[in-house]
Amino acid sequence: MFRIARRLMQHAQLYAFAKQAVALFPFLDRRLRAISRTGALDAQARAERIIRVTDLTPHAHQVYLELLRVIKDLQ
Amino acid sequence: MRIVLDLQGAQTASRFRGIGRYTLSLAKAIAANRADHEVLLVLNGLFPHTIELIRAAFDSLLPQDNIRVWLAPGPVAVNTGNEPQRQIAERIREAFLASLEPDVVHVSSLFEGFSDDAVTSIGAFAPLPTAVTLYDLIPLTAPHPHPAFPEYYARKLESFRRANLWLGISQFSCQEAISLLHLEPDKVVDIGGAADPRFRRVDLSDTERSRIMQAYGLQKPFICWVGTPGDSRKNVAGLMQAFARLPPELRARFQLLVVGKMLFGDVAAVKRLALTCGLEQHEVVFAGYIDDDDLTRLYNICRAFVFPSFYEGFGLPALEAMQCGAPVIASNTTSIPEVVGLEAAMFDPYSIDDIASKLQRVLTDDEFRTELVARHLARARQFSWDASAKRAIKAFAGLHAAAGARPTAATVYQDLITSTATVIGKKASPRSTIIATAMAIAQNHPDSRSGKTLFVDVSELAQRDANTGVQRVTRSILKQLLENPPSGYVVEPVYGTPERSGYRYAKKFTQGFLQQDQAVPEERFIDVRSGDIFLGLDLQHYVVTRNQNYYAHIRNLGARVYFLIYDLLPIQFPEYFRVGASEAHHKWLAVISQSDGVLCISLTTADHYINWLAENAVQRPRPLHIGWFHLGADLENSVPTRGLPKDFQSVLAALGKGPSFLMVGTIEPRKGYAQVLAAFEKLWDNGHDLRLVIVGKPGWKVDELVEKLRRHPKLGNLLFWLQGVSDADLDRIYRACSCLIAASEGEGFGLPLIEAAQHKLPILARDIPVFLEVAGEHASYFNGRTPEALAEAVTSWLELRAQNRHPHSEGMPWVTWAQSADRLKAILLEGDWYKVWPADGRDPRIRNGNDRTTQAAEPMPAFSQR
Repeated sequence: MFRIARRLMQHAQLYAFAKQAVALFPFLDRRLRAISRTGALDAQARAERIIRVTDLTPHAHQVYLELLRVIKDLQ
Repeated sequence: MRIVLDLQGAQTASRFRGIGRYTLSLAKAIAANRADHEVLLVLNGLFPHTIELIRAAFDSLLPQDNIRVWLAPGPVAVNTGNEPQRQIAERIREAFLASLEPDVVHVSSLFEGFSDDAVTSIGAFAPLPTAVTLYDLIPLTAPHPHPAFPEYYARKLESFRRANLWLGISQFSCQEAISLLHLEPDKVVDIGGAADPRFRRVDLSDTERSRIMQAYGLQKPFICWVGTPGDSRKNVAGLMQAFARLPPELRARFQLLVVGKMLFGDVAAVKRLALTCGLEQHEVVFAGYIDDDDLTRLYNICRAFVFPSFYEGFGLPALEAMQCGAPVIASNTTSIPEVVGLEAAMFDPYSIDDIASKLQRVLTDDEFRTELVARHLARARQFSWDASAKRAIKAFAGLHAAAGARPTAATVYQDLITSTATVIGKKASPRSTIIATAMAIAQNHPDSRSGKTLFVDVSELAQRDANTGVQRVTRSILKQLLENPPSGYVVEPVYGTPERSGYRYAKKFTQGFLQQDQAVPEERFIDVRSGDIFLGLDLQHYVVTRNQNYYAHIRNLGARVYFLIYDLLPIQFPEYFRVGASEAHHKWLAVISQSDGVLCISLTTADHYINWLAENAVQRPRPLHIGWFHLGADLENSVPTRGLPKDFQSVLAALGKGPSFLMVGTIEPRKGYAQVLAAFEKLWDNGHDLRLVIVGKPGWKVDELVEKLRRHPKLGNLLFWLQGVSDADLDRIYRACSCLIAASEGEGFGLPLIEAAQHKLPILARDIPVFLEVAGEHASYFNGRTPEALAEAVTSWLELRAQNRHPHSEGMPWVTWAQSADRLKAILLEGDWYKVWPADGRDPRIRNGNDRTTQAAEPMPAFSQR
């Protein structure tokens, strides 16, 4: 427990992100716990592993696709 | 007028300070004085552990549907970067507010979000008529040392200036804002403030006084100080120095009590400060953060309350202490004279001599102290939250009249997509940010599906099907709910897994259950929105305990969560279950006891559960509703299983040759099979021509009994054991027998008794409460655990039967599955509950005022559970 907490403290930025991700979407916590043990991943790679498209609800998936489309249009 | 109150001031770390108290008290008073106005509370989902307590605070004031929660991708705290997320979150929040089509938005505390996840912009997305509470402008004159703070504060001031109305908490705060920020004076309204009515005079017995003194390590009469010790503006140092200057014999008679939340580093610093001021360790007591009940008691028994602050926007602790009848002496600066209103009680906070002089007088001059108390109590009565709320509502009405028509939300969603996509595109945000943004927007702006959803948990049935009585109930109730959904609801079977939190749509299972033949869509996580219901119908301990945070999450969002309780047997009879079953059941009950309500399958089970709540002193922020209903007993609607065991016909033929006694249920120690078999062995030894039929598969802890049954000399002659009997064939067995023996020592309901009654089969049952509840006068009863006792009961029953004087079961009342499901729906939707377990306003996840959302050094909730 202490080791996990210390490691998380060393990555405060990711921790804050992960904490909020779990607060918002509690089903992510187990995956996050597993990731916290893999010290080799950089923060971004970890974040990408924390939230996946397959975690989206049907409505959120629609919103996601719409966001992608608008982002592409704006580019 | 639709008034939308942004209550983030009651969610951030400010909730431990005056701003949090002010925010909550004013909002409650506005809700109480709203008259014909509509009041909506808006909460930030990035502070999940605060939401239930705020919902509880408004439980009797507003419908829970009027409390709305928005989500945004975090973190957004400025002091650790997070610029893209902050910009996205500002747009998301403002779009959410716009979607509510408010006439007025009131932001309780705008200057938040530097070191936490508050989001309080104005005008980042769309202009809305906005009022802001004006506490103070301390950072303008005394900037925060963090390098990112000036830019943060400047941006907040820009937002602040974009407001259309400013509600000052004192004349001083209004005048300061007008002069420093050049606000238009007619848009700045002093609405004042008040102390919570819970701060009042109380008569404490000597015992209670000793207890509270002891609890906080106080050994002498004490001087009380309340504030944030680490905040130099609060001037605890001035009080310590003044205390040190008191004459030694006077000082020796008192202690100094310092009350207030201290961060980790503050404790050592404030202790050092006390030593520097010349005080000895035992002279100062640091209480930390304490709850309002104890604070009220301490205000009541302190010798004096000293408020030496250099700067206040209002000065709430002084008013709280005055309201409790404490002799208060306070600074003569900023807003404090407006609150205290008595020259004689004031001192110059910059002069230690002046503080010491006033302190000495209040400690030694009884007449002065008596006069202070009387004047303070009279003064405190002039402050009231109702008055402040009425002034605020009047100011809102003025703003609404000037703003004109209510803005519509027609294009909010599309505008938000464009706006957030622009930020994401510019900042080249990672995919995870896009996904999190999509999740948040989807939650804040639900799709256009009509009606609400009743999610029915079928986790066991959909994935494994243990084929116990619970799954039989799940199938039957689900069938009724799908065929006759509650009015206004769509029923969706869902399942969870022990591997991860959250529930998915059980599409594949549902199609099979309804015998539909369509392509099965992907089973995604469920979309839950405010007003939806989650019903934990199936029983999987590990799935439920795994989802503890998930239930809290969807309750935060405004969904309601209910569970069925089938029984408490693993707790009542741990010796009859596998090792660990009792603990697992305890954990399961602990989780479901934090839901909105539980439905028990009998009155007896409901009473057992209430006893469990009392024994475990379950704490709840909001009340827990407890209901009960009886299960259905019509076989044709119970989705029966089919199949025929070997030798079934020969068994039926044998049963017709003489009196036959039937036992139905899994063979496990609790069911009393061993006692019944031993009793029948005695009866057989005594020459009775009786048959015993056992229908049930072997369970646990019965290896010896099962072996005995398998090798029993009477097996196939007078003893029959059938396994894997379908519901339809059980029907034929009921018809062929003479009496049902229900020997179980504990049951959640007692379905075999009703099934027996349906077949007009007489019943001999153990006299346990649930059997008495179900069968009443329509059964014969026995007690005692010995074979002799039961053998005697069987003999007596046979004698009565010979005279046709035995109780007949056919008049026993029972309900169909349709009636059972109707009753369940009535409890869920019409509130036909049996009892309510009261709230005590406490959240068991939060200890000593500390939750796990505001302190970055603490592990996240998911970690803390293991």
